[in-house]
Amino acid sequence: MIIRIKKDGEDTNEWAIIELQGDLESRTNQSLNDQFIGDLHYTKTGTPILIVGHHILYGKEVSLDKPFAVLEKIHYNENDQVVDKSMSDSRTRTEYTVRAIVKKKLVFRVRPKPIIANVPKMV
Amino acid sequence: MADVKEKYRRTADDVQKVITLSKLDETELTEITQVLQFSPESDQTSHIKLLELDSHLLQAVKEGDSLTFRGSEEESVVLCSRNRTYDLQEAETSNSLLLVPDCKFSKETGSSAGTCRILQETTVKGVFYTYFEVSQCRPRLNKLHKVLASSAFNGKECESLVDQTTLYNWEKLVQEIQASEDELREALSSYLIVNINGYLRSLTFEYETHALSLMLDLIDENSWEMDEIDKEMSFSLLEELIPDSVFQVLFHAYAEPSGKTKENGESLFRYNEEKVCKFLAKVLLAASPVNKYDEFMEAWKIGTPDCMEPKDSWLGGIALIVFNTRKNVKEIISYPAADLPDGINQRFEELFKTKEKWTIEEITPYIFDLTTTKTNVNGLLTKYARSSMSNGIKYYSSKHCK
Amino acid sequence: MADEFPDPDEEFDLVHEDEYEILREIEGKSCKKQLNFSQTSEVSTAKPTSQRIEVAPIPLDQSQSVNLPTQNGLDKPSTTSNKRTIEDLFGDLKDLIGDEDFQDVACCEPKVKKLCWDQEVEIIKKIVAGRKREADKWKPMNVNSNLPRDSKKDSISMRVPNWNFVAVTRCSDSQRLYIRVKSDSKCTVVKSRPASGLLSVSFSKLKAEAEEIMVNAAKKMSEASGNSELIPAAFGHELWVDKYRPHKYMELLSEEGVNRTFLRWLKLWDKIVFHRDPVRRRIMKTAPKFGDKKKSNTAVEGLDEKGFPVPRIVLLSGPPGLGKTTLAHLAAKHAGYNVIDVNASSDRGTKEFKAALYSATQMKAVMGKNPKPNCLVMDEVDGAPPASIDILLKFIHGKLEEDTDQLPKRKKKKEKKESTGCRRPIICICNDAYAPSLRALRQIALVIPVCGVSAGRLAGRLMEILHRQGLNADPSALVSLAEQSGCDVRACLGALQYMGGIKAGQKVSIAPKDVRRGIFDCWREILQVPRDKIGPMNIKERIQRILQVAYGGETDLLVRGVFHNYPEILFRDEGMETVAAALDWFQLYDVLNDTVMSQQTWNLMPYSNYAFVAWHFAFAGIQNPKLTYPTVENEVNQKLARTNAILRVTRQASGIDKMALVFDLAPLLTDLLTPSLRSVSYHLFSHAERADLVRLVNVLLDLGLNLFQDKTPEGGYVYNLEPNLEEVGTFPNCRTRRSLTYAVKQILVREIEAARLKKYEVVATAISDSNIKAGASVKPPETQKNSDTPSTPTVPNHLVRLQPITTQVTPESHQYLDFFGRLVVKKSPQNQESTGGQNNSVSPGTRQALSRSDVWFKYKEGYSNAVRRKVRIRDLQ
Repeated sequence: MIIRIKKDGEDTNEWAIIELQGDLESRTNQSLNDQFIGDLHYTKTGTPILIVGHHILYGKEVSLDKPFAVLEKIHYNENDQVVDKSMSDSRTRTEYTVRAIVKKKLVFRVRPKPIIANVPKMV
Repeated sequence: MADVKEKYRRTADDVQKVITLSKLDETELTEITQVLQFSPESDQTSHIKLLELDSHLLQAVKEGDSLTFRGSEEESVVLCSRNRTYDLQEAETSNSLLLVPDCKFSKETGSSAGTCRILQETTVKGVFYTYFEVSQCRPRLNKLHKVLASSAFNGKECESLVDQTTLYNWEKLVQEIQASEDELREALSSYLIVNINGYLRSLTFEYETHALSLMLDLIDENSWEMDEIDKEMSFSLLEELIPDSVFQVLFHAYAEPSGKTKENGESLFRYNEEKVCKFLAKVLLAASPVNKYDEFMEAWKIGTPDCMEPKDSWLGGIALIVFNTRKNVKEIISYPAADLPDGINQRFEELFKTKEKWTIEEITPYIFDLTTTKTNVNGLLTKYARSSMSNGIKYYSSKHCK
Repeated sequence: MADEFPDPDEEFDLVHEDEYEILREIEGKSCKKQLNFSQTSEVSTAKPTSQRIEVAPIPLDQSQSVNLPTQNGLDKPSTTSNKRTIEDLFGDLKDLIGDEDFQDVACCEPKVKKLCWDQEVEIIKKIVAGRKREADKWKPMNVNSNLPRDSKKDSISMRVPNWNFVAVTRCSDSQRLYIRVKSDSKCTVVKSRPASGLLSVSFSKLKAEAEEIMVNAAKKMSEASGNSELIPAAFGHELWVDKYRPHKYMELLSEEGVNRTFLRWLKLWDKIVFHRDPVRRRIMKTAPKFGDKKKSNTAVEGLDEKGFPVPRIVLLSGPPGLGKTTLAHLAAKHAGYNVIDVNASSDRGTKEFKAALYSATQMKAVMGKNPKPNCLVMDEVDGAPPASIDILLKFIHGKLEEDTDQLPKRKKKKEKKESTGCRRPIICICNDAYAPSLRALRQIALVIPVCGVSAGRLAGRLMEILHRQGLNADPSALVSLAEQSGCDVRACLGALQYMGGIKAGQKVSIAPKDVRRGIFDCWREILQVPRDKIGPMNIKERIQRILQVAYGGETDLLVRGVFHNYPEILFRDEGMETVAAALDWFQLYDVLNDTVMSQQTWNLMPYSNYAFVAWHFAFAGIQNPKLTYPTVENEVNQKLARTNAILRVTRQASGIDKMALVFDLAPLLTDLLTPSLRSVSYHLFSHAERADLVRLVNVLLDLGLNLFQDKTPEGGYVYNLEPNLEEVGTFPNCRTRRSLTYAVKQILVREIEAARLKKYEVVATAISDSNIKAGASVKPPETQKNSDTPSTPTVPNHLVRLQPITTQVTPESHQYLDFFGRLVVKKSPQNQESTGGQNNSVSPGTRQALSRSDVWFKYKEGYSNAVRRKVRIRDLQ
């Protein structure tokens, strides 16, 4: 059995990965889809800063030793037409397409610092 | 909680406030703030995989070469480029990897001199915890024998007995074998696989014995010198008995150009002494797996053409020379490397079960096929065996044994 | 007569003398017929011929020892038995009503009528009529002659009476007498009343008379002691048995070893009773120095830590007529006690028995020159009802709870203060120490078997007595007499007295003693070759003897004893043939017995007796066999019962069939319950060990077993299975199998408890869950609350602290609460929103910006990417 990995188009997109030591979770146990996560800033020295909820995270930019290829699975039927994933059966053929290459990532490894919101006003 | 569900649009104002609240110095920050946001389908990422690439693969991807995942239903998958085979494993990390398609890095954000904060919505495609890790490995060719054994060539007279459905052509074989195409092609010749009528056939041991002995007999019959083997003559003499393609493969497997040439400029050949002797030893051992050393060496000597002198060091990977303390004699025991298990741990376990202590020379033929570009025999031994010195000779024994 | 110890007959007679008197009067004084309601004493049974002599006039002053002989059991015994109960009641009433003597008579009349309804009416009527006549007679008469006698009857007792009393000791024989105390106050009460018809004589006169009577009585009593010296001279006036009763310790006939053991035990009580160190007094074993140096109780041999002798009670056992009672009395006196005699076999109720126990052991005479402590002698305990024995046992160890209505409060308090048990020695006397009722007593008591006197020694004593009586006798005749009587001293003396000496060669025929032979004697009879003077008896005789033994009853016990004891006997047996044959007989016996018992075919019964003959000839040896009581069967039965109980309980708990338990589970249980667990803390257990432990707990719970802590005799603690199923599966005396250590068992017990609790919890929650479902209104707020606070246990502390802020900020209604107490900002939420933007200070708007997102970040302490998984092609498809 051979599954081919094809290249989509001429040039490859370059995507990024943000690596967090920890998880993003929903407070209300709802789906994360379409949810606002936080703000990503860069300092002028190039340090990425991510603010998620009440946490402020300091990270760094890292070039990957071994870049990632982002593969997307595509199912084809006998007539080489793309079919939905749910439609796949024994007759469908699976192929992967390289959607992008990830060469860099932002790593946030250190413990996040809390943002104290309700500091009493100075009297 | 209803308001949370509504699509929330981050405003610059909000961002500003948060910066203040976080006690960040806004002037220290670049102007572009990326507002991270999950995509509407961020939870459906099963169709997207992250594949780690080494430079060779990266190059291949960039050049548009096709990469392939290969393996049957239950095998662990290998990734093959045109000429390399990689072991594929799924790595899991405790960190969450947010795949961000249009992320700007620091260099891209600090250009303009404006003081106004620019918001840029950035969508996170999904959160990943796994990615595929690759490491180059040897092509998995062990299967080649098994696959082709049922349709092995045993002489023309036996062809009618071969089930036509079990025959493999190239396309079929490629699907089956976990190796890159270049590597597979290379393997075919070294495994003595012959293309007969478009089908790839291995030779049975009996047929190989038969054919080789016919070829060797020609030396004596024609009183050729060792290094003056005439390929064309050999072929013409054996044409009746050995098909052309088989002869070509066999002849090139055992013979090499000797540097001498015939009068017509065609080069002459010599048989590789070691290869021939090894094969004959296999034949002998197939008949009787355990032999007394002296008897075996004598039989071996007789079996080989006069011009060849067999050496016991050539038995590595075929048989073991052991000293039977009970009978107080040296013995040669058939122990073909091909019969050993593929897994590294099982291989070493099996080896040390058979014999407690090995010298590096003894063990090398049995573990050589386990080596990769990264780890050689010594590396394997360091990792899986324990070395000890006895009478100035370094022995390797089981790591866990007492 | 002076030394007569009260026996049941006497006691009874004492109490009922009134009635006798009346009856006698009814029947006319000329009539010699007299009543005896009680069973005759041993003396009278043994020698019916002696009756005439006993009828001889009784010494006046010894009125309490009226020994009425049986002439003919004329009047119905049933009357007596009922009368007694009336009398008991009557005695109580007397105290309530008053002390006037004739009132007793008046009071008892209606009682008799009422309660004896089922009696023969004529007799009652006669009695009543007679009594009235008596009362009438007394009225005009001077009370003088009658009163002292009557009053003595009601006011003097040899036993501890129910009424108030003063104890005096008679000088002649140290017999304790209890004299009724008449309270002065009561007298005055009577006095203050106007003289009515109640008293025929004025009170003062009566009192003077009474005093005179008392003085007379005292005088007479003191005279009696003097008289007693004289009376023996008059031949036939006193029984030799009493006359030559040993009066000193040295005169005791019984074996010296027995005497000494007994006396030593009595002396051990010195510590408790006389508060002196018993060791110094003990001549026997311990060197006196030892006692001097160490005065602490613990150092004294034979005493427990409280100073009590280790067996707190002594049990003298032996066939009748050997002088057990004499020994007990003499030794007690010798040791300085006042002997209280209680006949345990009289059919008293337990209450009375208890009362007697208390009064005898906790009172002390207050009068007399040197008051002696009491020593309780209980005769014939083997005849006592088991309830009484039970009380006695409890009493000895101070576990007996006092009956409040039975005893004065004074005593009760004392008892509560120190419930260490009986503080006075109690001596029990019995004929058969192996009587079933004495089983419990035997275990805690010091059992002293009193052996028979040798015929020679007895003959010597008899000779001496005859000599003192001025009679001659042939020694050989005396020896044969002694032998024939079974060395019963009492019987010999009785015989001699009434035969007036014994001539040489005279054949004495005393009726053979009808004694129930002890079971040991029966075994011995079977297992020993009987001999007479010439040698072994002939076979015919032997067979007769054995059959006699076999007919004697208790066949079952006999068989068990024979079976139990025969391996110890030396008998000639080559090739084990004899044993084999004898065992066949055992089998036959068993078959017969079984058939008889199961099919009620009693006609087979006699055959089984011949088995004894067979065994006798098979096993009997010449030497005296060492016999032991067969306990195996009992033990086995007990064990069987216990095992069955264990199995029953386990079956209830686990639902496993009994046979399956026995065959499949019990033998393997020990191994099943003993996984290899190191005896370390639970936290140090490996996974495998924890799994083992969990499995073990489950097994135990499934089988309904538990571990219970027990204390070993050595003082340590062990855990035993409960029910102890392990015991069922293990053979006794087998190599002990490995078991879990104590520490592991402790862990195990804890785990079992935890598992049990969990089980209950599950059940409980299941119930409460269903409750909640029923009342659905409870649920919604709960779920909401959960979603509001996502504080999972894995959240680091600092995050947990932060959560409440956000949840409180977001809902507007809560904002008021947040700003409560802040004086400056008290605006509407809308205003806050608008102004918050420009404000440099932290405003609610900013805070909202922060908490706009539903997403929050949960930091992980560590990082790992070590997990590698093989990829299969289907994962990629």
